[in-house]
Amino acid sequence: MSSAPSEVTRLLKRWTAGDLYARDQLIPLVYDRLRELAHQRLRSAPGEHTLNTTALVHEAYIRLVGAPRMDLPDRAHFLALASQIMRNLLVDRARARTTAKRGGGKTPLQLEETLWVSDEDLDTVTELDEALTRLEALKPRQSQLLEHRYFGGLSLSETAAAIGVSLATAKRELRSARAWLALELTGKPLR
Amino acid sequence: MDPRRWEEIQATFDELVELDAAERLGRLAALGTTDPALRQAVEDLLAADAEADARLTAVEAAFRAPAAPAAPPPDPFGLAGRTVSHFRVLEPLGAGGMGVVYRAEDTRLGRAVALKFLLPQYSLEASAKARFLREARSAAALDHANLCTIHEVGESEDGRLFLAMALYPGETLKARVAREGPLPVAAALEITIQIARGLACAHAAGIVHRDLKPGNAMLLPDGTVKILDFGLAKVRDQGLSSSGARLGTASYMAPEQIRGEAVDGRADLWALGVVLYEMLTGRKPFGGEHEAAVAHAILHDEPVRPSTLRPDVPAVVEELVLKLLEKDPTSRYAAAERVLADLAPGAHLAEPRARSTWTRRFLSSRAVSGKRSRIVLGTAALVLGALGYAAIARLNGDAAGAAERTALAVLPFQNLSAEGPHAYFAGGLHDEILTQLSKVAALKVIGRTSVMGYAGPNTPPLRQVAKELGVGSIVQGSVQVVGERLRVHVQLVNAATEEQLWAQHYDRTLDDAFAVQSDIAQQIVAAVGAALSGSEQVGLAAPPTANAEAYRFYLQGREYWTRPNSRRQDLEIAQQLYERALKLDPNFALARAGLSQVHGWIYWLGYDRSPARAARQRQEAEAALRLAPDLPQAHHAMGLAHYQGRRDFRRALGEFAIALKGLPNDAELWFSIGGVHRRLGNWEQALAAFEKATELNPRNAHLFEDLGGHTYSFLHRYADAVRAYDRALSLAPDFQVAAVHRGRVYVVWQGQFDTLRAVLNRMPRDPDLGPLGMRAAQDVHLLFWQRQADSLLQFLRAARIAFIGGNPSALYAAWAHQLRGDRRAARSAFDSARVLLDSMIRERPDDPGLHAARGLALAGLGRHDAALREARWLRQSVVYREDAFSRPGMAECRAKILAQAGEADAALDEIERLLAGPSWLSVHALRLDPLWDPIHEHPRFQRLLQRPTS
Repeated sequence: MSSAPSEVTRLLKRWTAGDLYARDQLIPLVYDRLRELAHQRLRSAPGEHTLNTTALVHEAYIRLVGAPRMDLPDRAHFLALASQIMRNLLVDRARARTTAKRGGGKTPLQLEETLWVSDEDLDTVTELDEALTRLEALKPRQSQLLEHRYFGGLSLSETAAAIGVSLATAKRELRSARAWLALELTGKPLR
Repeated sequence: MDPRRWEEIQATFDELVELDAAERLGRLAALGTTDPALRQAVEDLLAADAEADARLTAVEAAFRAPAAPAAPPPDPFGLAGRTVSHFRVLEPLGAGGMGVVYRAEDTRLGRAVALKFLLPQYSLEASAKARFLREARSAAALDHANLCTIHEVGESEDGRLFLAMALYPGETLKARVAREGPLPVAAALEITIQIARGLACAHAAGIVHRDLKPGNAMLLPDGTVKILDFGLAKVRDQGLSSSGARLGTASYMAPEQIRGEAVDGRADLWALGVVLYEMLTGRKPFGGEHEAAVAHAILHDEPVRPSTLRPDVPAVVEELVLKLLEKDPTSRYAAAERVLADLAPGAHLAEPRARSTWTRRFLSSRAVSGKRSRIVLGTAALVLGALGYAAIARLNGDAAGAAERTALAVLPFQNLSAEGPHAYFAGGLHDEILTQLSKVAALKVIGRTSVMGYAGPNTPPLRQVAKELGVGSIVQGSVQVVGERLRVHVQLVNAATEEQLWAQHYDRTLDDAFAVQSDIAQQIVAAVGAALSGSEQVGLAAPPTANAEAYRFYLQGREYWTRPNSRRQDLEIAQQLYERALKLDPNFALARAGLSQVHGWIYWLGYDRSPARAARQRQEAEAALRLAPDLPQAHHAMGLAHYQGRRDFRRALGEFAIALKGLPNDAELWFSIGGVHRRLGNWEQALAAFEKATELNPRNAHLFEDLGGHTYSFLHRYADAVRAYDRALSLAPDFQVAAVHRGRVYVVWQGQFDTLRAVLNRMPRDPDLGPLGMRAAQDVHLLFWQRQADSLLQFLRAARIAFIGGNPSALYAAWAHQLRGDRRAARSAFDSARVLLDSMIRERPDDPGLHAARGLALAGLGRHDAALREARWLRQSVVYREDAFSRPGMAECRAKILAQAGEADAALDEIERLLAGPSWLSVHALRLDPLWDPIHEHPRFQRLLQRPTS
C-alpha cells in the first residue's frame, strides 16, 4: 500500500477505466491521508475548529497524486471519491461531538477528532447529510452532485466528469438540486 | 415523494426556470388545472431557486464551497506572463514527473525556447541544488544531433531551478505509439539507431540517462529523434532519496537499477531494448498490476518474444531486442556502438536463425494444470471451489487396464519448426484435433491437460502411457512449419500391441491447416472403427472459417488460452489474437465463442471485475450464437455467461445441455456442468459430472484439488480431503494452492497448525498467489487463530496491503487490537474498515462479502442494530438463497455477526445447522476462531465443543 504518487495515479487510471477493485485499493489511502491532513490542520491552527473540506480534499489530491495537472476524468474521479470519504468522516465526527456534548457514556472517537466540527457547524453538517441521504433516494446523481460540491469543492466540470454526464446536464441538475436543498434546509420540504 | 414524481417536478422546473416571468405564470396557471400539486411543488422550487444563494449561505459558508465553477488551473506555478532571468514566460506546455514546461522567449536572443521549471521539492536543499546545476551543466555541454540542446541552466529570483532548452516541434515517441500502436519495423529501427547514436555520444562523455523512455524521445517532423532530459534522473533520484519516494515508472528500469546497484551506460541500453520492444509490439516486455509486480517481472521473468506477438519481426531484430534485454549487464551489449554495428545497413534482415536456449526456456514453462476459479473470500473458510466426491475411485487407483480402441489419447505433437512465430502451431493443431475428436460420441478422448505431461524425451513407453490414461489407442505426431509449408506427420498406434493402425504424412501450405486437421480427425475416427452420426460427419468436415489467416490467429489464440495457470497475461494475449482473427473474419463464430470465454475468465478470476467485462462476455456469446445457432462451443460460452456473469445457474445448465449434444467428451464442458450443479445444490448430478470430467482428465491436478479436496473438506470428510490434495500434489508438486488447502484441513480437522505453517514458510514471499492475495490471507488467518496479536499487527504493517482475502486489512487489525485489549485502537481500526466498506458498498450494493465484513465491523463498534441489519441482509440476499455452495460460508459470517452483536441463541441455531450439513465449519474451528469468543461460555456452545471431531 505504497502511497507514492505513481501508485495512486495507476490505481486512479485503472478505476477510471472501470476497474472497481482499483477503487477499493484507493479508499484506504485517501482515508488515511485525509485524516492525517485534518490533524495537521487542527494542530497548526488550534483556534480554527472548522475544517475547510475543499482545501483538504484538494490537498489530499496534490499529496497523493503529485502531478499538478492530470486528465480531467482521473482528477475528477479522485476528488469525487475523496469528497465522499470526507462526508463520511465529517458526519461521523459531528455525531460523535453531539454525543459528547450531551454527555453520552462512551467516547466513540478520540477527543481530538470531534474537534473537526465546530459547535456552530454541528447542525449544518448533520442536516446536510440527512438531506443528501433523502435526495439520494430520489435521484442519487443529484445527491452526489451536492456531495461533490460541498464536501469536496469540485468544480462543475469535475463533478460532471466524475458522474459521467455532460456539463449542461450537471449544471441543470445542480440548479434544481440546490433549490430542493434550500427548501429542505429551511424546513419547507417538497411534498 | 417517489423518484418518478421528483423526475416530473424537476423536468417541469427545468423547463419553466428558463422562461420569463409572464410565460412562467401562464404555464403555472395551466398546470394548476391539471395537477395542482405539481404546480405547487414547481412554484416552491422556483421560489427557492431565486433565493438559493441566500438560503444556502450557512451551508455553503461552512464548507467554503466555490461560488462559481472554477476552471482547472492552467498554470500551476503562476508563471505565465512573468519574466524569469532573461526569459519571458508565455504559456504552459505540459507537466512531467519532475516539473512543468513553459513556452518562453529568450529576450536576449529573440528565440523561442522551452523552459522547464523543477517542482519545488527539487529546489529545497542547497546540496541538491548544487548537484543539479552541476549535472545539468555537464549535460548541457553535450552537443549531438540526437540530444536535446540545453541552452542554459539557472535559478529564478525566487529560487526555482530551471532549464532553458531548444523548443522542438513534433510529438513524443510515447504519443506516437499510443496513437499508432506498433510501428513498421523499419521505422522502429530507424528511431532505435538515432537513440543509440545519442546514447553513444553521452556515454562517451560519462553521462548516463537513467530514465530513457518513449516520453523522453521527441520525434521531429523531419524524422530526427531527440533525447530529452539527459542526466536529470540522477539528480531526481538522489534529491528524493531522503523522503523515500521514487518517481517515474519501473517499466524501463534495468534489473541492476531496480536492485539499487551502480549503473552505467548499459542500463540505458536495457531501456532502449524496452523502447524497441514497445515500438515493435505495442506492449511493454514486462507488465504487471502495479509497480512492484513490474519490478518483479523485470528481475525474474523472460519477456514474450516479440515475434510471438508480431510474426513479421525478423529473427535478427528479435535477437537484438533480447540481447538488449539480457538481465545480466555483462551479457548485454557492452556499448551503444555495438548496437549500431548490428543495426548497420546489411547487418539486419538476414536469414532467420534457429533459436536456441530461449526457445527451450519458453517452451518449458511448467506448472499445475487446470483452468478454474479460485476465490478466497476472507473470514475463516469461504473457499468457493468445485465439488464432487464420487471420483474417489480415480483418486486411488489406475483406470481399467484393458481399454477399448475407441478410448483415445492424442499425445502432444512434437514441434519441429525452427522459426519462432510458428512454435504455437503444433500446440494449436493438437488442441483443435482434440476438440474435433471430442465431438464424436462414440469415442472417449483424453483431455488436453491430462496428455500434456507426455511430451518430450521422458515420455514413458506407449504401453505404460495407455495404462496410466486408460486408453486403447494412442495418436502421436510432429509438426514442422518452414516458410509457408506445413508438414505434419501423424500415426495411430494400438497401445497394447504397439502396432501402427494408420499413418499419414502431409505436406501442404499453412492455409490448408484446417483441411489437414479435419482430415486427420476423420482418418482417426475411421481407423479406430467408431461410427459417426450424420451431423458428426458434417461437423468434422466443415471449416469454421473460410479465411485461412483468421484461422491461424485463432489457433494461436487457442494456444494461449489453453496454457496452464490462467495467467492474466496469457488470457489477454489470447483475447488479442481472437480479436485479430475476428477482424479478418467477423463471422467466425468459433472465435467469437472463444473470445467470450476469455472475457468470462478474466472477469471470474478477478483480474477485471468491471461490469463492462461481463457485458463483453455476454455480447460475444450472443454474437456467436447468432452466427451459428447450433455451434456447441457457442452454447458453452453462453452458458458460462449465465454462470459467471449473471449467476443465473438454471439458464447456464440449459445452455450446457445443448452444448453437450455436440461435445459429449469435452472435459471442460463437464467441469462447467458440475460447477453449476454444485451451485444449485444438486450434489448427485454434480458428482456425476465430476466423475466424467476426471475420467476424461485423470491427470488434471486441479480437479483433485478443487473437486476432491474442497468438496471433502466441505462435507467434513477430512481424511478423504487430505488424500485428494495429496493426489493433486503428486501430479503437480509445485501446486502451492493445493498445499495450503491441505494445511488448512489439518487446522479445522485436528486443530493442528504445523502443517499449514510449514507450507506458508516454504512459499515464496511473492504475495501474488491468486488475484486476491492468498498467501497473505492464510498468514493472517493463521496468526489470528493462533491469537498471536502482536505478530499479526506486525505482519499487517509490513504487508501494507489494503485487503486481506477481500476484507479490509483494518478489520484484522481491529481484531488484533481487541485480542490485546486495546479498545481504543480497535475502535479506530473498526471505524476505518467501516468507512472503507461504506464506500465500497455504495459502489457494489449486492456484494455479500462486503456486507458480511461491514456487519462485523459495526458489531465491533458496538453498533448492534446496524450490524444485525447486515445479518438480515445476508440471509435475504440472492446469493444466500440461490447459491448452495456459497451459502454456508455466508451463513457462518452471519452467525459471527449475531454472536458479536449479542444474539447468542440465534448464532447457535445457525452454527448447529452448519455443523449438520455441508459447510466449512468444524468443532475445532469453533474452538479456535476468536470471533466466537463472545458466545464461548454459552452452555449450548460448550456442548458443541464436546462433539467428536471427525
